[in-house]
Formats: sequence, structure tokens, C-alpha cells
Amino acid sequence: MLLTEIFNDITPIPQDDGPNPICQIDYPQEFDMAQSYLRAILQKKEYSERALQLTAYCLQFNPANYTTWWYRRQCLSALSEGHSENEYDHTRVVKDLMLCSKLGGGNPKNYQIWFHRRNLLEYTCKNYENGNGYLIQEELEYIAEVLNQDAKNYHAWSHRQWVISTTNSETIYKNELQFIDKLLQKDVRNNSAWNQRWFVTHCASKSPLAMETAQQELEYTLTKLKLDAYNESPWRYLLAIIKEQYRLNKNMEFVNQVLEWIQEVKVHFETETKRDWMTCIHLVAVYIDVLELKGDAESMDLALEYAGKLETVYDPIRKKYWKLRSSQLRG
Amino acid sequence: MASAEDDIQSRYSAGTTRYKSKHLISTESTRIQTSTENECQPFFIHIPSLDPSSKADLVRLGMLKEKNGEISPIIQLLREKHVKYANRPYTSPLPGSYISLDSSKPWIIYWTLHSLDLLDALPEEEDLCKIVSSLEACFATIQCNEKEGGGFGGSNGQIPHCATTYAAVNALSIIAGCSHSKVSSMAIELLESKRELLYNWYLSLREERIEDGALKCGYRMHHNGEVDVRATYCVFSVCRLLNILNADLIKGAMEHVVDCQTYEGGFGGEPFTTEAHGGYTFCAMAALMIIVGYRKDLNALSDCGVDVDALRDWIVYRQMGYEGGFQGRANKLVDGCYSFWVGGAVAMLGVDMHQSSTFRNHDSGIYSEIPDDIGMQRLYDDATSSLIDCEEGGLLCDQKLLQRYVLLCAQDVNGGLRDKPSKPRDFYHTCYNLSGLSASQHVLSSKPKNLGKSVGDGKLENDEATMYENEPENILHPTHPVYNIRVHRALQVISHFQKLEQL
Repeated sequence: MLLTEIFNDITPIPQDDGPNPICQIDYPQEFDMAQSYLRAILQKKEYSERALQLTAYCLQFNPANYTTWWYRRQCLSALSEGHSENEYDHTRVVKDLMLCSKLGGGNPKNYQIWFHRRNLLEYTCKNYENGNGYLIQEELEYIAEVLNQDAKNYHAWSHRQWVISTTNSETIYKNELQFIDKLLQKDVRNNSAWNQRWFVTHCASKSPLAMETAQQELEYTLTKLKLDAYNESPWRYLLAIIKEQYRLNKNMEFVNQVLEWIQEVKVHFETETKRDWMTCIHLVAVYIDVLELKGDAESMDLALEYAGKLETVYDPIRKKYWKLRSSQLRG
Repeated sequence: MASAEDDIQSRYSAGTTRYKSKHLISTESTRIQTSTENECQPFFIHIPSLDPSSKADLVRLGMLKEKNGEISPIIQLLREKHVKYANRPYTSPLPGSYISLDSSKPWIIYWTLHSLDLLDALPEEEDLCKIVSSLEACFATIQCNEKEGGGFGGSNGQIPHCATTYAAVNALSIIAGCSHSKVSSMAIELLESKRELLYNWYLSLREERIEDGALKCGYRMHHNGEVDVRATYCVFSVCRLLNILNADLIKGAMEHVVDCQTYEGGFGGEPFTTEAHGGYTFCAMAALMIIVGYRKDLNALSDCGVDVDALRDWIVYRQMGYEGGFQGRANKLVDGCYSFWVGGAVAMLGVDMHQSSTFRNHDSGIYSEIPDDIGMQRLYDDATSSLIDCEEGGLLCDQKLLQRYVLLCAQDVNGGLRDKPSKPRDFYHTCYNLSGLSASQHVLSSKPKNLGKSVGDGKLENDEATMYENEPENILHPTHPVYNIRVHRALQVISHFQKLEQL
């Protein structure tokens, strides 16, 4: 049906950019007209099925229009029977998730579409145990599909983290580790997957890992470092786990063990590649950091020597940084 | 003739391939990294050894300059072309493909106006008047209810949004400081008339929670919209400029932002979950800098509970060894927009380190009386006493290599700047490449003159900038790393609204 027929009782309101417009955009005519009807019913605060349809139509042209999304949610809310905040009728949730998937296809980095999904699922996530849990599984599968296209999509990852932490189910957390491992097998440099690993092992909190889990994580990271010691991601992960444990108990035995492990990676790297290990700047940098944790005179001297080499030969782009670190190491 | 310029050129062009990224196993990440380096490589040429016809081509494009019949080997900032490009929104309607920016008009205005301002080429007063009235048309109150306040939306008829409000207020602050008295007072009056509405609206965007017995508070981007650290920055930047920041708005915000620091050291968009990212790191740091400036009991980021060493380490590794520009996350590609998001973070880090060492050395607290604009004025004055060797700039990155990336890889020869050579120019990348270039030229550089005082619009504010190659015509006006408008504009707006009563 034509817009003019569906809205024959409404007088469209054209866009008003003031008397001296700038930044004008040549809108397609269909969009301009639909948007004029939308302005009119928005002003009337009409929350109806036809309003829902009109928002979907307008969003096809511009899915970044947050006002249209906001109005759509108001309609959903008014037309749903639920009493809690963001508790929409189940069929409406399913339908809107489909709309989002359709619009999201060509706009994987659009804030509004991802937020709409979050809003739709908020009630279900918070009532996971006694609600439509299958929606959550489907959502995780949908996100996995998006990540299959772009393994580092920040929006997709944020959404996934939100779904998992809001649902807060032990099984979901557990299964996530396998998902992450699959991604890291595919691309060990997927830093988003490493970040997800930290998020999952820490269950979205700042409580440090238990010693046993920390050991497991260190071992896991070491296997990845032996694959490619040039890779920054596992080094940052390793260092953060070490520092977290060190802050907890200042355990020197642990620091010594870590130093041995780093040595192990270094030797492995040298035998496998026959290259100078100093070219592996992240390896050297983490080595320096852990030597600094150890803190005895011998370790500090060694750390200083390495920092000097990075400054002058191996990492000149960070020369000022290494100069500063050296002056700190000297105390 | 071996000049100093030749030295720099050979250091930065010949033989730098040894700093290309290395890997032992090939994955999707390493493949696209390698192709990005290959895409940049042709731009890193050694200009003095080019043949005459190539040099002439570069002269024709404006990339090299001919002086007295001789071709200077120094790469030029394409000022006039960038000015022409950034003026597009004010000269003709934008094509239909810009439809997705229909909800971001204040952004288009801010990106282009700030670019023009850095280039010392603001539009004529007539156009500035149109801009002010267009921005005014974007202002909306909540449900037409003045008590609930309001803000600037994406265009006329849209609900207020934190990001477009930030862009609109920055644009109006730029105009407020311009030399045309009529439009300048129009902008000031508009800002003045909206202060209370903005304040009330911001209060309604607070999203408070109690965690571990502490109040934490994020901000929503708009009513029933997403909460992330961008919102906190956008709210605080506006409030600081307009002097409407108070304890009610600050309550819990620092605790929320600090929770966004990840194990890597940088900040993500949300607490305890998301990945460290250049854009969010900028927002988090800038928001905290504003809080530090406001609260007399805090002197530095470390006082907020930030792990500054981890933050510093994360930031310094974002600079790409070969390309010289910044990436936004570990194992991602260089992108010209991070010249500012990460470049601004490097600048604030420098400010913060400088500030905290000053406080350590002066336990008498004599510095606490300095006006709370993040000590920026003092920073420029004191830059020579920076912790770092100033010869190549006082920031913890290679400022010259960053500038080289912007000048060689990010400039479109038709005007405008871009993400990387294979990407098209746009207003967003134009703004943030130029902002990054400005920050790396000026922040903690040695002694710019008359920063806080009134400087005529036509005069460049600095004659001792840090530069990739010594070319005075490549110098931009200094940008303020917290608000990202010119330092001079920011200080002027702040001092104007400081005279007004706090709400």
C-alpha cells in the first residue's frame, strides 16, 4: 500500500533546517516523504502497528537514525503486554531480531542496530533460567556468524560480552573457552579473542585468578607463544596474568618460574628460527618487566642492558620510551 | 650537499624495511598487515634521489614546492586543497550517499570547522552565521518538556544525543572565539541560553549502580540508548567548557571509567568486558583529566586508580614500527584517525607524567593553585623541562614518524585526508589526521608563544613546533588534547563561562 493511503489521516511534516540551511543532503524522494510522515506521527505520539512499519521502512534508508530506533522501542513497549522494563512480547522480540539481522548485514559497525538487539534481549538475559533461553543460544550463534565474517568486530564482541555477563550462566562461560580456542587456532593474533579469554576466565570481574587457573592460563599462553613469539597479544596476556598473581602474594618462586618459562620461549625461538631473539621486541619487553619484578641487582642490570639495546638498535621508534624506562630501572 | 633534512629523510626512508612487522606463522592478521605495509611502502620514497620528472609530478600535485626555480625535497601539507575539501558542506548540497550522516550533522560541522580552524581558514562570517542557526535548529528538548532539559540532536526533529551535542558545542566554541564579533556573540548567546537545559538533560542520562559498596555511574548516549565511556567524555567535555560541571554530575563517574581499563593497559568502552581500544582510551583519559582538573584532591591519573604504567606501555606499542602511524588495537592495522585518538592519548599521558612529577618534586603544593585547565598553559611554558629529551618532541612516541604517516600516506592529493592510501578521504579522517598532526607538533613542544592570550586569527601561534621536516608552512594551530579544539579557543570559552555563575 502507498504511504499516502496508510497515513491518509496524517499531514506530513517536512524537514525544517532553518532559514539558512547548510550541510544539506540530497535525500531520495521516497525517504524524504516517509521521514515526513514519521515526524508527524512522532509528534502525535502515536504508538501503533503502522508506526512500527513506518520506522522499519525509514531505517532501511538510514539505520543510523537513533531517533527512529528510539521511537520504535517506544512503540514496541506500548504494544507489548509485559510489565517490566524492556519486556516485549516474545513474537515482537523475534521479529525485531530478524529486522536487526537484515539491517545489520550491510552495517556490521552500526551502534544503533547492536544496541537494539541488546535492548530486545535484556529481559530474556536477566531471566535466563525461566525464560526463552534458546534465544540466548541463537544470539550467540548469530554473533559467531558475524565474527566469522570479521573476527575483530568490536560491536559484535561487546554485544557477546554483554549477553554472556548479563545471562551469567556457568555453562555459557565454560563453553565460551572452546569457542575462543577455535578462533585462536584460526588466527593466534586475534587480540579480541585474547581479550575474551581474560573476560571469561575472570567472569567479568576484577577478582584475580586462583593460582591454579593462573598456571593453566600461563601454560596455554606458552603454547601459543611457541607458535609465534613475535605476536604481541599472548605477551600482553601473559604479563597481565603474572602481574595479577604477583600483586596478590609477591611470590618470588612464581616470578622465578615465569623467568624460566620466558627463557624457554627464547631458546625455542632461537633454535627454530636461527634469528637473534632481540628482534622479538615483545619478548624482550616482557622479559625486562619480569626482571624488574624480581628486582635484585643482577636482574636490574640485565634489564637495563636489554632496554639499552632496544633503544639504540632494535626498537628505535620507541627510543624515548626506552630511555625513560632505563632511567626508571636505574632508580 | 648533506643537509639536516637529508639526514632525516635517509633515516626514515632508506632501510626502514627492517622495521616491518615479523611473524613466524601466517594468519589473516599477518596477511592484511603485510599488504598494508606494502601499500604504504611506495610513499616512503627518498625524495632527493628521485629523478627530475617524478619530482616535477610531485610539484604539480602540490606535494613538493618549487622555490626560485629549485625544487625543495620537503613534503608539503596540501593546505589549500584541504581547505577547499573541508568547505564542501558550506558550498553545495551533499550527495544522497551522505544519508547515513543525516543523524550526524553537528559532526559534519565540527569535523570540517575544526579542520579549517587548525588550517587557519575559518569560513566567512556569513557562513558562520548559517552554521550557528543550523546548529540551533538541531537543539531539542525532551518531550518538549523544558524541565527535563535538552541537547543537540543529529538534525532538526531528532532527540538530543551526547555525541552530536559534544560536536555542536565544540563547533560553537570555535565560532565563539573567532574574530567576527557578530557571529561570535551569536554563538556565545546560544551556548549561554542552553546551559541549564544541558545540565538537566545530562542529569537524566546518569546510569547509577552500587558495586562493592561504591557508587559507580556511566552515562547514556541518549534516552533509552547505549552506555559507554564515549558518553562520559562527551558530557564532561561540554560541562567543563560551559562551566556546568558539578559534584552531582561527577559522582561515581571516575569509578566507572577506571573499571574500563583492561588487562592490556588501554581502556575499553565498558567495564570489565570490552577490549582496549584507541578511541575509548582517549575518551576515558580525557574524562579523567577533566575530573582531575575539577577535584582539588586529585593531581594525576594515578590518583584516580588508573594503572598508569600499564596504560603508558599499551599506548607506546600502538605506534607501527614501519608505517609510523597508530593502530587502534593490538594486532590491528594502522589508521589515520588514530593519529589523534592515540596521539591525543600520548599527549595527555605526557601532560599527566609531567604533572605528577612536578607534584612529586614540589610537595609544598604550589602548583595546586594553577587554574584547573589541566595545567595546559603551564605545560607549554614548562615543556623544556619535560621528562623526555625534547629535541624530537616531549611525547612518548616518535612524533616525526607519525607526522610522516599523515603527510605521506594519509593526504589525498585532491584534498582531504584518509585512513590509509587504499581508503577514500572523508571529513572524519580529515579532522582526526589534522588534529593528530597538530598535537604531535605542539604538545610538550618547546615554548609556543602567547598561547592563552589573545592571538590574532591570522597569525600562527607557534614558531618552535616539533616537525618531521622543517617547513613552517606545515605548522598547524595547536589543538587542545582534551577537548580537541584549538587551545586558544578552549581557554577563551572556559574563561568566558567561568565568569558566569555556576548553575
